Amino acid sequence: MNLLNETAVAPAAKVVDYGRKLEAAIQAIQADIAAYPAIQQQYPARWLAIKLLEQDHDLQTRLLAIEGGPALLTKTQLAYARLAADYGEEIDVLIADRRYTYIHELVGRVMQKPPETLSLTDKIDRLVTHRLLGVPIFMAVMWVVFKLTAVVSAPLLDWVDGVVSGPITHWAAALLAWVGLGGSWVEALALDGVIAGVGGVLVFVPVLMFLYVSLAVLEDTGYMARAAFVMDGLMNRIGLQGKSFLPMMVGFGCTVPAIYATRTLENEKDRILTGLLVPFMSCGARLPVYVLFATVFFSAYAGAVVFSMYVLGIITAVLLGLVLRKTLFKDKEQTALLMELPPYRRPNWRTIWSHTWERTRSFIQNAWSLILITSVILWLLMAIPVGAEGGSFADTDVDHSLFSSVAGAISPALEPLGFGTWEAGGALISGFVAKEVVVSTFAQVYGMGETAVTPAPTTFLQDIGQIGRGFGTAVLDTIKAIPLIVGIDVRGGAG
Amino acid sequence: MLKEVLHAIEAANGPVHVAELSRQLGIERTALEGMIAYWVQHGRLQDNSAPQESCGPAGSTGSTGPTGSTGHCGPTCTGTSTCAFVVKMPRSYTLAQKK
Repeated sequence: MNLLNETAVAPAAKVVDYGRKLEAAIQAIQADIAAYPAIQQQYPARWLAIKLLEQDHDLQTRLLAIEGGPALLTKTQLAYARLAADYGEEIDVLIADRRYTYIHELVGRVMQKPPETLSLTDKIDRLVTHRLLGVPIFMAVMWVVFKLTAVVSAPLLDWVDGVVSGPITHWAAALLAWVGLGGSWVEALALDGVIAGVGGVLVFVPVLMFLYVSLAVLEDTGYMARAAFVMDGLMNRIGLQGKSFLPMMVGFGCTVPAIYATRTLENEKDRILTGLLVPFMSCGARLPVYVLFATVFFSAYAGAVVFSMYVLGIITAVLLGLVLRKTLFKDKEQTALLMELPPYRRPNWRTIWSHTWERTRSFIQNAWSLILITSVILWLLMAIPVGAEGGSFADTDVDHSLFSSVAGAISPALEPLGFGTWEAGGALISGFVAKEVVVSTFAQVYGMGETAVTPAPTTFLQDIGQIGRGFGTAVLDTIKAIPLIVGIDVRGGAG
Repeated sequence: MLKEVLHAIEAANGPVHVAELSRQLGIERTALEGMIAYWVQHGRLQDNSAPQESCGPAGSTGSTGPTGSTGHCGPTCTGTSTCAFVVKMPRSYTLAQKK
């Protein structure tokens, strides 16, 4: 910007014109101030008159201690009340408004803006926040994210699975045999309970890392802010509270803080409605469950299935929101939303790694605490025999265990939902503790029924070599799987 | 000027972003940010990314929204500033509902 006509402004002579009535009130108060020399000596009269009309509490307190101050305050309060009645609004807002208008006009007179050119951020925003294109672009981005998490990460998932069920299980068995616990219930607890349960969840760490890297890239580039902006627009268009989408976006990470985030909504009905809808947003903990089922039942379309689960959650939330708005929340007002969109940036890989690692670490910590405890409890339930055919403790078929009895008693109630078997019903109930536990329950239920295949004995060094080679192959296969995002298979062979 | 900002937000058909509002009203972005801060201070706009009062020290980690550092997502405080899984959101404001 260029400074123009500098001589046109004589700063010393300029005062803000607050309008006829306000100026009259200011002058009246100035005249009152002149009657109190103690006050006049301390403060410039016009400045003080304006501050008193602005209801400056600090100044009001100071005046109380000065001779004539209380009387001046009473007079000012009367003037304020008259003006507020005349204007129908707060006088301090009026004064601030006049000041901003004055500054704006002054800047307009003395500064010349260069012709407005759109920055790269503006140009991209015109596309990604477009009222019609914004949502399809958001969906396309999410599609890529879920292809990355469900398809591209698959070779690394298989590698971790191989390490957990192979070398780690062998080492644990060998260690227990070395201390004389081979074949005991302790070995069963360690292998079938802890390693099968916790390991069954930990194999999904690569999947989650791909999700966390994707989210971190979207956050760091600035796209996540646009996604929130676009989805807020969609929410508003279908009659939902726009601001409610912020907790919902948080819900894609974790439901608990998302429910807490509803505290930012000042209206109780908004909080309740949003709190009811947030659990339909698929949090990170559900991803292992989605990936497990998608890979088992729809291996060729795992990415599409996982993506559709996320979309289904959003659609369900939207439909439920519409129903609730037309029934229980009829009188709810909509509030406008103003958002700051940061400029687009190149992602900082250090930040991305930091976010990814924090999230992955939290997941692993959760696996080692809550999921470990739950896995041990589940193992105990599966190890306690029930009935004459049950056998003995830790040497029973899971079909004749306490777990199958309890889950079998509950499963008829879940049959209408499609969870009629004790295995599915038991896994579902265990998911109340933590969603990931569903995976570990299945791992334990079906793992215990399997006949262990004794692998060819290997040395520790052979195992390490196998882990290293497996990792190299998995990384290579992961790179080859990237073109699958756009439907191109360059892997050859098994494809 | 100040009131125009509030009226423009009220009249917007959907969400508005600060740069767009700045262009629409012909107000410098930095001046607009000052006006937004004024309305936040006066309780007419609510800053959604401001730390929650009930949060205590854990929630006062920043003003640009939840960043997550400790990985704690348990039932304490508001959770958003301490849970690593929380997605970082942009600063946003809503009109405070009239009482």
